[in-house]
Amino acid sequence: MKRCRACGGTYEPVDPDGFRYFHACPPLSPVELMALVPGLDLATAQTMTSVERDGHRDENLTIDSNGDVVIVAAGVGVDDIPDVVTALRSVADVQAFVKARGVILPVQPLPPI
Amino acid sequence: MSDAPLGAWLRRVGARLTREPLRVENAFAETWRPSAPGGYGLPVEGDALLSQQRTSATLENDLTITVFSALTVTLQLSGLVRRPNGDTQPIGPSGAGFVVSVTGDRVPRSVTFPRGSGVEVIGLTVIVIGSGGVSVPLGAVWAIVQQSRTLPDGSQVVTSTLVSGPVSTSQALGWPGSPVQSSTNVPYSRSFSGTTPAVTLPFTQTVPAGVRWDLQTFYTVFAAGNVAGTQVSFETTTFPGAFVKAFLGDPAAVAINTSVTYVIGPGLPVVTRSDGALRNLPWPAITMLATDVFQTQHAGFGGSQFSSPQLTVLERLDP
Repeated sequence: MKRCRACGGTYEPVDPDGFRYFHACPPLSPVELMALVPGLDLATAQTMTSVERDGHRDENLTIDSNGDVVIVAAGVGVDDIPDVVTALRSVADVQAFVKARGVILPVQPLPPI
Repeated sequence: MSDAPLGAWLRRVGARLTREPLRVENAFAETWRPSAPGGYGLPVEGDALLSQQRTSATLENDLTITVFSALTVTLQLSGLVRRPNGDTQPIGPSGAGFVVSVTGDRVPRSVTFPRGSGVEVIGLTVIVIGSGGVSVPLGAVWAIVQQSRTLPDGSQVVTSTLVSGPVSTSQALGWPGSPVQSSTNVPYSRSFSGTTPAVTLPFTQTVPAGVRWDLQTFYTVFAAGNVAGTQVSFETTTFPGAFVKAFLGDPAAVAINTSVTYVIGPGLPVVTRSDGALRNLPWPAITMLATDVFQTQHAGFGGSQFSSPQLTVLERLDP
């Protein structure tokens, strides 16, 4: 499991069925834009859907001037984080994993029996 | 072609002349139609081009195999050559064929093999012999076998295409027999996990290089921190920030701590169960090209998150 240093997104670089996954950072959200630009209102911020963040990472592939296959933008890089399948053995492991990923786990109601 | 010489030929080979489609019981079981586009005796399948010419024995022709794949696989090109003295033997080192390995980056790569002097290729087969234990959906690995010629400066010139089509661990590509096809005509379905964005950020997915997608479903869990009344819509963008945008509106507000599957196409507007909801987006199929972007738009999202997002797409290799 990887976590992008620019956007904080988490992902698996290879899906279980063997296909590679190419992460690309989302653009700045309206909330982020309003924090960056004083006086920017929500309605205007919501129309600005393609503003890239600093250190933007895009792992999609392209061919450079030398003919080599490279990723579009390395950005500020990624970090390895514990894999949920192999590392989680206890409640404490789960709590540590959730804290490390920065993910808020939903509380799902149990389906009726 | 008139029927007279055709009838004589059919009698010689023991067949009978008919206006009905003639079923030829051979290894390929093609239906041959005298009136089919492309001429008599050529198998036609969909939009396939036809390439049934016999290879010629020349001194300078090579075999080039071009592969592009969405999976990391190993292919084997095998076949037979007939030498001028009539001897027949398998191609490749020790007769084991030629082996080509490719990574799943969907970038076309070519390898050229010498055919030898004065030999004639009489049968070719391309098959996946290694995929790291994963199954290979038909369409995810594409092979093209061509005759080529090496020029004095070392560059390669393609002289004809023998075969072009999908290969898997269970289905080979054969020449003669397999029609020449385009990879954009053979879709395969994929479901995959996208990036779980950080809290409050939109979900974004870019179509990778070398494919085109028909978007079918988007699943996510709306995690805690959501604000009541949040509405989520989607947009697909060609050339981000510029030209074409297609909006998929969802007028219903999402609830806190629910999983939602958005399905594109006709269907019931909303189906809610205790373990999640299905929402129909009555929108025609959207074909997205490489570098196109699918992303969410939302208001009043608060501190929520698109958790565990998953997409289902029909993918076609399009290098």
